[in-house]
Amino acid sequence: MIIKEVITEAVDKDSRLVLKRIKTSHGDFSNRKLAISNFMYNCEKDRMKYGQPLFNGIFQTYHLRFDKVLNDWDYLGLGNAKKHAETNNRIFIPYKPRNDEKLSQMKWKDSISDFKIMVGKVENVPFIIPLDATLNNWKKHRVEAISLLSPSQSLVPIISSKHNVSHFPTIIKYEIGKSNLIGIHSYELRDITERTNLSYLRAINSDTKTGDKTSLFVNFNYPRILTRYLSIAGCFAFNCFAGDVFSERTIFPTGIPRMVRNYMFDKKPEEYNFYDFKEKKFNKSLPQKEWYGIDLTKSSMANVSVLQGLNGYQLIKCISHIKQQDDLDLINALILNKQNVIEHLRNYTGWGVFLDTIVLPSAQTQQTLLKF
Amino acid sequence: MPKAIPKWVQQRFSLLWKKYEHQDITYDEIKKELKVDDDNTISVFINELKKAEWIDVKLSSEDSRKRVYTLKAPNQIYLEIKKEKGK
Repeated sequence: MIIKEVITEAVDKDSRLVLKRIKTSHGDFSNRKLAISNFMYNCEKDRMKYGQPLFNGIFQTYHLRFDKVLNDWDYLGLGNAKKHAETNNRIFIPYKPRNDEKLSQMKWKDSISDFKIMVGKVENVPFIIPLDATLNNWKKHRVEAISLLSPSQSLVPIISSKHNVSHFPTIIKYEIGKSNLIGIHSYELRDITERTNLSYLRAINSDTKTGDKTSLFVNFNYPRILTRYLSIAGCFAFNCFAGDVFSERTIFPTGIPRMVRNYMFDKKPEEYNFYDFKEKKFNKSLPQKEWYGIDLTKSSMANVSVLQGLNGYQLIKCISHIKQQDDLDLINALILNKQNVIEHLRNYTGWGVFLDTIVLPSAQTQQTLLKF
Repeated sequence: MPKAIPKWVQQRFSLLWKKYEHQDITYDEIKKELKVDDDNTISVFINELKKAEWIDVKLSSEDSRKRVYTLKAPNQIYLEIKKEKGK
């Protein structure tokens, strides 16, 4: 599937949330989509053995693992993941997660050489913008990167939300509408640089008008659960900061010590975090029982056919994935139907507390941010 | 003039009202009664009620560093909101 263009459909004036139309070779879609990540892709493969249908998702991401022994990226699964995405008409985006140290060490020559490797492998080619890059630097390297692409390939610039604050907004302002996909390397909303950059991003994103050509912001590597903020879903939090496509952090089992791994997989269903679609946050069985009188996790699991080919942990994560996507679709419907989005979101504990805790800039502050 | 409050606050207010009708309630009692560990949630909850004028706040007579809250009668609040909307 190929993205032809991304158009702003509507901007909610109070929440500053934007509804976008994604025009693709296979029809039109809206934004706020959870990507089929490594984990979901593996679940999907297991389910397919039992003749179960695919998950509903037009984006598939693949987070590559860095092999510390070989000191190189492990490209082994990339080909199969790409083939799976293409066969099932999905937009495939690979991503190389890097920690702060690795990211801060990246220079233009590293970005270019990394880009050249990926040019030979995928259609949506990621380009990591170094942390201190200025707009002029980027313009120069962008031209070089574009010249290396074939007509069927697209550039996916990836910028960190901890990018130098002086240059982040100028690069975003330049890039919005030019690239269909812009990657945002995301964190946990703890850092002041991250929060400032994301506020800029939100302001720039919501400054577009209906019918304007825009971009999709792909949040990579964010934590699935923001434990610091009442355990709300990371996708909701980053949706408040202009996120359109969400590719959560991947935990590679090979990198986890055996003892920790055993502990993780030996847990009982009541010990796993489940997406409580009533409260709009993650929680476990005990608080569910106390509040609703029933164990939401187990009762949701009981409604799923045993012929899913998934273990308990996979099942809980899959149900949570589906419920989170339903909620993102609900936000799109609210914007489309011109309802009072903020008032509606504030009716739920998780969303309400998050909106009150993380003070989102008002429309007036947004205009001030845009002047810089 | 009291204002409408979000649904999640309303649900928890009703729970407190059943037990603390016309009585004083402390922060710790609210936390215990709602079975919420997270201080942010309790702070936001109390703040929503204060903003919407659903509770009265005063300093504790035993310890002036602490606050005590009194829940207002929901019937009265609904009547006032209805009256205001009718204007």
